[in-house]
Amino acid sequence: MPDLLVPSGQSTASDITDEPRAPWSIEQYLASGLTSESVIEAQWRQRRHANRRRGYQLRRRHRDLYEAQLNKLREANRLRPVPELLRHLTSRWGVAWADAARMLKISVPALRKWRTTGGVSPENLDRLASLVAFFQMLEQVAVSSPARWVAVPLCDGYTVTPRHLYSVANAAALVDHAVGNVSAVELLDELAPDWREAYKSEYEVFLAADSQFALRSRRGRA
Amino acid sequence: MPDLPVPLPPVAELYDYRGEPGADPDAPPLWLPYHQGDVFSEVDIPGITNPDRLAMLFLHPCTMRRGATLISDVTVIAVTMYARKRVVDEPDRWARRFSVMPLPDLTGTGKQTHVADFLKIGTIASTALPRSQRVGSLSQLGRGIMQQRVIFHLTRLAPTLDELDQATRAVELEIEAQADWVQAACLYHQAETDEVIMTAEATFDAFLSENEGSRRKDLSSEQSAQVIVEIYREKESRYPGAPVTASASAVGGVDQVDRPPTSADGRAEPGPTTVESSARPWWRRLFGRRPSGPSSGQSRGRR
Repeated sequence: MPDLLVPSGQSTASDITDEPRAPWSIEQYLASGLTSESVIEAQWRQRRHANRRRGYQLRRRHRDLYEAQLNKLREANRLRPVPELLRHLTSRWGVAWADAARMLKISVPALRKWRTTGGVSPENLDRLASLVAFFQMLEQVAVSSPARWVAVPLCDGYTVTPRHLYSVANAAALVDHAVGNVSAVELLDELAPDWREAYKSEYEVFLAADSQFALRSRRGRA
Repeated sequence: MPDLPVPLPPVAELYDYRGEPGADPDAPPLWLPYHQGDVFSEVDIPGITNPDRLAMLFLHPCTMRRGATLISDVTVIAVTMYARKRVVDEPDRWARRFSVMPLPDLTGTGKQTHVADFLKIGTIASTALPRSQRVGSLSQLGRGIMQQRVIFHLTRLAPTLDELDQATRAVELEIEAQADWVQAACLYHQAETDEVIMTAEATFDAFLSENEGSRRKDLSSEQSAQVIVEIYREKESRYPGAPVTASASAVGGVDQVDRPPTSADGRAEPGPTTVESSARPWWRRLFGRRPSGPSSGQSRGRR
């Protein structure tokens, strides 16, 4: 498909700072043999493709920025004692140990031991520092309750939450969603392509008459 | 949709703690609240033949607790030996047996497999379940699998673990916070006696129950994280600078924190809920030859 926005012979390499290319001259259109309707359609598709490609590049650059910020926070956190980092998770944000343990991929008893002995391996320290950095970023981008945010399902009818998706590699993408740059569906399609099958829920949680949570079928409900 | 009920996960992920309090470093700590799935030794269930004298708490914390403590009578499931000489942890072995909760390597010795038999359920006094006899505590994943199997056994419905997690989140948050609160109290007082534990549980319950229980109710709401923050800040103000127990090396060290601390006054004899170490491992005491006859109901560390 020829680049209809650029006369032949010129570079078609895209760049996020490019201005839109000049359209063909009348002679070029006539020489191409294309009808006006097909030309207009092709122009639009090419323009949208170029913008989508530019959007991906912008997204990548933006996430690189989030990564840099997360890395900076992580490096600062690595210098702090482990009990202090853990205390920060609970006393500042109210992160449940079960959620933290899940996101760190360790057991709750192991996490309790970190809290009282403070001795962890360098690898685990790095993961903990990264987790605290993640919550710091969520706070900075104005998520009102980061601890609750990671535990709330992303899509109605599905049980997947941000804590299911969290990893050091996925943190920037999660921040991108928290800010509102990508939708939950876009995020899930990117990070968990099988989410529609793996996390579909036939039940919903509701507050029963005894003020305790309970499950009921979604079927037949609006 | 993943297979339901879910296949049995690796053994290490089923349990949070296993062992005899006072003797095994990975035993359930005395400050740990009672929870669904806890396994106790030396328990007799009326009307049920239970030669191994092991029992698992069956009820959910919502129903077996009043505030932070157990109700007077609780429902338990008999836990029996399934394989005496090997750990049966292959998921396929349990894929069609939904009347039990598999407990591979409950003893932590790498040699045995038990099951909690849903066909052997009874009610006993909660005083027959002192913490000093708690020899196993399931992880949250283990509890979820148990819940899923129980529901499937009773109704043929199979909610996912995530759905169960959502429904039980508030009570899990409360029990987790209580565990930290009571542990902090024990560390602060450098003792894990009945008095310290029960007093700490009472103060925790009182804190959650203030203002007509608004904090407890808010654990079920969008304010749950804020409640956790309040609990932890209150805990730190009541038990400031709770001392660290035995230190561990920075890298890959063996943690000693779960061993009961020595009493503050240096007495040699243990407190009511601490347990004397035995010359034989607990699993040998349990599964070796024992004289027959009903239990007197008296046990170490009776509350």
